[in-house]
Amino acid sequence: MTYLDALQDTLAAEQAAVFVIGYLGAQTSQSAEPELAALLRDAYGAHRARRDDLVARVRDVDGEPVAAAASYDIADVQGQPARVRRQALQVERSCAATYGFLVASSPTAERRFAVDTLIEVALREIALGGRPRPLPGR
Amino acid sequence: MGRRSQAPRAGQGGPGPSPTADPDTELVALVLTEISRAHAQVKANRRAHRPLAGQLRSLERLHARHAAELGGLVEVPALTIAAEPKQERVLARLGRLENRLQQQLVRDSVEADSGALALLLASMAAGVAQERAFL
Repeated sequence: MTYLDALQDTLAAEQAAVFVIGYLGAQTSQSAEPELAALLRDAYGAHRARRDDLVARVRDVDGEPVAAAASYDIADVQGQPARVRRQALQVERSCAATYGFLVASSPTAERRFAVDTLIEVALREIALGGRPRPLPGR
Repeated sequence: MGRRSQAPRAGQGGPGPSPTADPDTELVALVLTEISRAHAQVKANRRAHRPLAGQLRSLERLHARHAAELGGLVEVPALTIAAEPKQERVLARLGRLENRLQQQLVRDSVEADSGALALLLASMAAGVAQERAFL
């Protein structure tokens, strides 16, 4: 896998994350689940920022950023905070795997972004109720 | 993923660099020492502060697993842990040491020549970050 391929895969994962986390946030009551709503709001902001970083990085290597999918498969989670949390956790785990590929595929000069974001995603897993686990590459 | 195919332990590649030497050999040896030091720190603190044993055991296991990925723990100087009655101080100090290890693993990952080793080290840094969240 080339660096550009890995960037594009990671961008696709972030686009999915922005969509799914945005949806999960919209299904979460701020008054009934303030902690979960805040976590999702923060996660949404972080994924949007990383998506924008990735778009810029793809362009830096003369690539054309992949477009977001027209739709994503998402379950109906309204009124089910435990399912919202599980879905969000799944999104973060999927992103961690993708950032792992990006770490392995990045030239050393560009690698720091992927390493830092892998850690950021791993910590969001914990905030969402995940437990420490073997991360990609182990 | 086995490390041995990626980066042999220090000393396995002969006395100096050669055209076939793994460029990550030295880095792996340094990382092993860092992880072994952290493991010794946690282990000594777990023994010195029994009430924290449960909390520190998973961190100790994490370091042991990480070291195993790179060829196994190496010997480091013995540690003397001063008795500290306040558990929160022990945890805060360990948290700082673990943070230092995490930052070092990040730098090591960025420096690695092999992408596979970079991924392994980045995942180790992320694993340490996750455990730190429970200190």
